[in-house]
Amino acid sequence: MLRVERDVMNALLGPADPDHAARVEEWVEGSLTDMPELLRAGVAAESLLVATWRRLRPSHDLCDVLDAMERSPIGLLQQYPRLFRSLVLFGDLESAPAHR
Amino acid sequence: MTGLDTEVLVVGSGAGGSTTAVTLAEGGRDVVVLEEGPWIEPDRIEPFSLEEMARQYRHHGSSAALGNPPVAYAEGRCVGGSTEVNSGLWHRIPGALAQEWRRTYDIDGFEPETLDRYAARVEEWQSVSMLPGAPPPSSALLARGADRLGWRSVEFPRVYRYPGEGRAEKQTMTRTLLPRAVDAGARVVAESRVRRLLRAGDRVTGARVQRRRPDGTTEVVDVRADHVVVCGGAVHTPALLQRSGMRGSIGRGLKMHPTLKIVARFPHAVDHDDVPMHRITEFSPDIAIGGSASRRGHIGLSLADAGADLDKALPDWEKMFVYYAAIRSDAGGRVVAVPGVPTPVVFYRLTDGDLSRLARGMVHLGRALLEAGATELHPSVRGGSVVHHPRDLVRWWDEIDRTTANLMTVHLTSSIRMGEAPGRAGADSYGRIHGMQNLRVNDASLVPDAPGVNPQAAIMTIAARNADQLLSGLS
Repeated sequence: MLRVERDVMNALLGPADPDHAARVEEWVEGSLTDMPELLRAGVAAESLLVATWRRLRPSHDLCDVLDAMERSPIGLLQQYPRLFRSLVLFGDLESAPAHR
Repeated sequence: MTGLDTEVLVVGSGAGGSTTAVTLAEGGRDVVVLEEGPWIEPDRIEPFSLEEMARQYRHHGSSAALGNPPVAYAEGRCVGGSTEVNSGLWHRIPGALAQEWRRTYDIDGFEPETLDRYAARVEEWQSVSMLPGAPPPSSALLARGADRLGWRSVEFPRVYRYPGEGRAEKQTMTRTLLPRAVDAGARVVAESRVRRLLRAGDRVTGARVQRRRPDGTTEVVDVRADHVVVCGGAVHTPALLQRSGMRGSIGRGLKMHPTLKIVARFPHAVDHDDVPMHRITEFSPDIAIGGSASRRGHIGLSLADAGADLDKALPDWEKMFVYYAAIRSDAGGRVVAVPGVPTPVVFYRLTDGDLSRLARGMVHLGRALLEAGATELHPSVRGGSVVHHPRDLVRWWDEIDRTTANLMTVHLTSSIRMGEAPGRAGADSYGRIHGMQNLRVNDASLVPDAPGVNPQAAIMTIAARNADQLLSGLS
């Protein structure tokens, strides 16, 4: 998992117990590692785009960047935040105790 | 391991591969089954959990067919294939559909009576049976909604045994056919990925395999075989054939059941341990309506699609359940093996008619759920309206489009159709690849079109028929 992808995951997860965050990270990292190679390459390319955006606009909150991508008319850009939101949410809910 | 010799090599151990292996092994043939994934004993992993996704699904369950919109899909990757992780619902091939396929693709020996005979055999192997006693509330709700609307609904049997005391044992391949095949002498080799088939003209001579050793290292071995039967599923079977130099119609014509979901909230708690056995069949085979796995994670994902406030909604998750509308699609797709890349690329192009059918299915499903007592419906549609009353369902007609629909599927078929029709079928009426002497396919790839229901029964019925034909040829 690239550093910017870890940042995206942490931004979407929000404050969390370290053990829980580690379980979610294991799930997200495992999912990214196990993705079909060409899809993974596409995700990595978009991650580099996000990293570049953050470098150019350091004041922008990462969640705002993801929101902007999701509002984009370009399908590929929309899919990036959707993928990370799904992975983090599923990992968060399924790693947590049954009721929170 | 330096190599293996066998009479018949079966690549893949899912519904098609296991059926092939047990038929041939019990018929006295020498069989080796290669499976890419690990052997995991039944019931060792909690169904639909993160661990199951990580260990028994290919790509952690995160594959996607490229298109507008893309379609997420999931498939098993373990000994037993998707039978280890699916819902186990059993639907025989409808007679009318079998007749249509027989005519369209010119398939020999595909009469409904023949198929029913093989279906009965497989059902006995698999202990296909109805749930004893009353269905769980999540299933009964679907039936109630259909009843109130005057629609047909059916409780389907499943591949389960009920030995008593409330225990239910899903009859996966690792629990049924694979142990039988092993008892009959078949060798099952797990964690062995076939890179390509070895060819000599119009014959295959075996397969080059990358095998994972117990210590985690890998080795490349050749398995020599007189006959090869590829059963890797509708994505990986055509990809392997393409990697082995076979193109033409191989990988074209892929079919699936594009699916949209609704999270329904009820005034009372609903069960979450199982998948509903009822289906609303009023609109079959074009639209299938049923229920999905509904753990908290699944409910959260579907709620997020519609933009629900999860902090408000999720504390009530035990009152919610995920239902779906799936369609038979006009569209088709392709599987393309890219040189040097292990995973093939899958394309699927939905038609406007497909999207319209999906919207219609969602409106029908919404009506049934509201009739069943649901108080709130969240569609898996980006920005989709939360519906509390039937009059509001009409909004979904406009809201479901290529940019908003969050589509998924777990049923992929038809990437190497069977039949004698030139140009339309990649394999003959019994799964032998056209132009090859001793190479067959025997899995979901052969099913001529998406059946509109869970395809496991169709796959196993066709596989038993084809394996019998191969066995009689060998004998």
